[in-house]
Amino acid sequence: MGGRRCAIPARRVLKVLRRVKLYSFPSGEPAFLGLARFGTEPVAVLDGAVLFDLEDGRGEAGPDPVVVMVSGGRREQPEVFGLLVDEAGRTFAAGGASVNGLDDLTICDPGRLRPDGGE
Amino acid sequence: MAFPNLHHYRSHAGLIMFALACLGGGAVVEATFSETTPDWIVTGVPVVALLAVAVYVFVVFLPQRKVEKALDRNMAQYSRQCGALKIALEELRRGDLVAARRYERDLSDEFRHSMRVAVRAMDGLIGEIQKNSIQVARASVTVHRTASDLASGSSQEAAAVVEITSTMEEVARTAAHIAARASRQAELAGHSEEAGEAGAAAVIRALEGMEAMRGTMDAIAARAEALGKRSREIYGVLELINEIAQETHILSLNAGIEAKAAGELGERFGVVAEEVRRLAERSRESVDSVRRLLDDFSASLRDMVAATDEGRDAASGVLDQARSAAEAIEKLRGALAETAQASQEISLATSEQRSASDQVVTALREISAVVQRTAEGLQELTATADTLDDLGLAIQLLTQSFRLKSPRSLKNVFLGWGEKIAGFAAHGEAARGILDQMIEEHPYVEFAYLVDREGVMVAFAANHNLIGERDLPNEVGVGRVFAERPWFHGVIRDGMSIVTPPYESLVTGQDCFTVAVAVRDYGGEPEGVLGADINVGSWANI
Repeated sequence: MGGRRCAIPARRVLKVLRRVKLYSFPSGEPAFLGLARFGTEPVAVLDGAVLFDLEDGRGEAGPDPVVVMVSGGRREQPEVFGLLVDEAGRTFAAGGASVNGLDDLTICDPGRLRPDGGE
Repeated sequence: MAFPNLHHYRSHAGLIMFALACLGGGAVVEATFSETTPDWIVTGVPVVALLAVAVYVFVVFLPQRKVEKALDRNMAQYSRQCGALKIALEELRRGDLVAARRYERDLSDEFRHSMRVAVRAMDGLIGEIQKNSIQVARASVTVHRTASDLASGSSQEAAAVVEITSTMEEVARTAAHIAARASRQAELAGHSEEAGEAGAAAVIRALEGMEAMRGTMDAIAARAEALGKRSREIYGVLELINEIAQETHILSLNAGIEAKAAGELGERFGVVAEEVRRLAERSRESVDSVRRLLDDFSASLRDMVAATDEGRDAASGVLDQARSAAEAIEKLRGALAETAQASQEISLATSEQRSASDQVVTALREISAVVQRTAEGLQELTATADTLDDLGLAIQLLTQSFRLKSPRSLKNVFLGWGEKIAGFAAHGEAARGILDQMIEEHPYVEFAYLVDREGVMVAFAANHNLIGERDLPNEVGVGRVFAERPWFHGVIRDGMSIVTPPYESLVTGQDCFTVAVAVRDYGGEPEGVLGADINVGSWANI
């Protein structure tokens, strides 16, 4: 997201979707991209780079962006929303080992996001 | 009137008278002394004798005396007439027909008539000769002038003919040169025509080659197009494969997520999911690799197509240029053919021109020869005109030796002036005035002068229209002595009017002749000589 390699805790990830049709409409939220259908429910899709403050402003989407449906927010009130990422990599086991030698991995936990957008 | 033979008559009469007297005397004596003689005889004889004497006196002596007187008168008249005739003939001998007629009245009627007729005939003849000689001189001047003009024209013609001949020869040489060049040109045009045909054939072959090349390029372009289409199809397949790989990747992710969510139960599923993800990853990498290869191929294909297009365009351009060149060569062939034909025509025409020029040059040379002969003939004509002029002058001078009662008779004219100037021999200025008047009335006189009886020049006048403004030589001037000159001697000594032969003038240096006449006083004695120098060039104006 935002040109960085990020990792999302697997427990937060519900599903990875491609070619999600977004229904956009004006919103005051800078990270809000639009609504998408997830199952039978509309969920909000947010720009992951803006949400996690990975770059200034909303960046351009990658060549094959995907939406990672995640559950975030507070434990007592989890929310499902989609994160628009540039590319979905793979799953791996964390525990301090680097992934292919890359040390610049950024952990982005949607569960730490507050309703007002902060962590 | 026939004079009687007085001597014969007188001698016969005397003889008869003497015989009668003797007879009578003898008879008387005899009768006296004879007694037989009758008395009547003695008486009659004296009577008869007296009668005879009386008859002699009245019949012979008195008439004889009368006749002798008449004879003396006739002899005197005869002598006078002979003298007059002699003088008249002398004047005629000297050529003075005017003076000769002065003595006509002393001649007999018969002689007077004959003299008058003869003088008139001579006057007319000489006057006619003078007039004709002047006409001959004028004609010779005209002929001379015409011949000079013709000679000048002939010279100009000859010069022009020479120039034309030179020009025509130059034209002939130029024509020959042009003919040679045209012939060479025709030959070159023929070679060029052949080269043009070869060039046209080469261009046609080039066109055919270009056409074939364009066809090949079209085929290449078609194949490239087909290859491009295939590559697009491959791109589509790769895209499909990539899409499948992406989906597979997402599926594997989701499977991994589900496997993680399943815990230990999903561990093996997770491994499979991971393998599937790797497979999808490899597929994506293969697709990327193939896509890269295909991209390279497509790029090469595009380059080839672009090059082919450029080649086609270039071939089309070359083809168009080749067609244009073919058209130009075809036109050039036509032009060369025309040039070859024109060159041949030029060569033929210049050959004919050269031939004509040669003929013209030959004709001009003949004309030049004719002009030369004409010039020579004109020179002869000029010389003949000069001879005629000299002849006319000689005839004129010959006729001027006569004095006629004619304004063309110089002796007569200047004798008239001599009478006017008579008495002014001692008055130089007055004489000068008369001389000026004489020159004015007779413009053929270039110099007039009056010398006294001693040969000293008293006055002179010059005709500046003839002598110009040149200075007179020192030998000419008032006070100079001309007593040794032949014309002075002839006038003063012989009392004749003189016309000299032509000589070189001291004043002008040209030929002139002098007419010198006596200036006489009231007694008829010469008191001086009036001279007039006549310019030979002006004599025809007499």
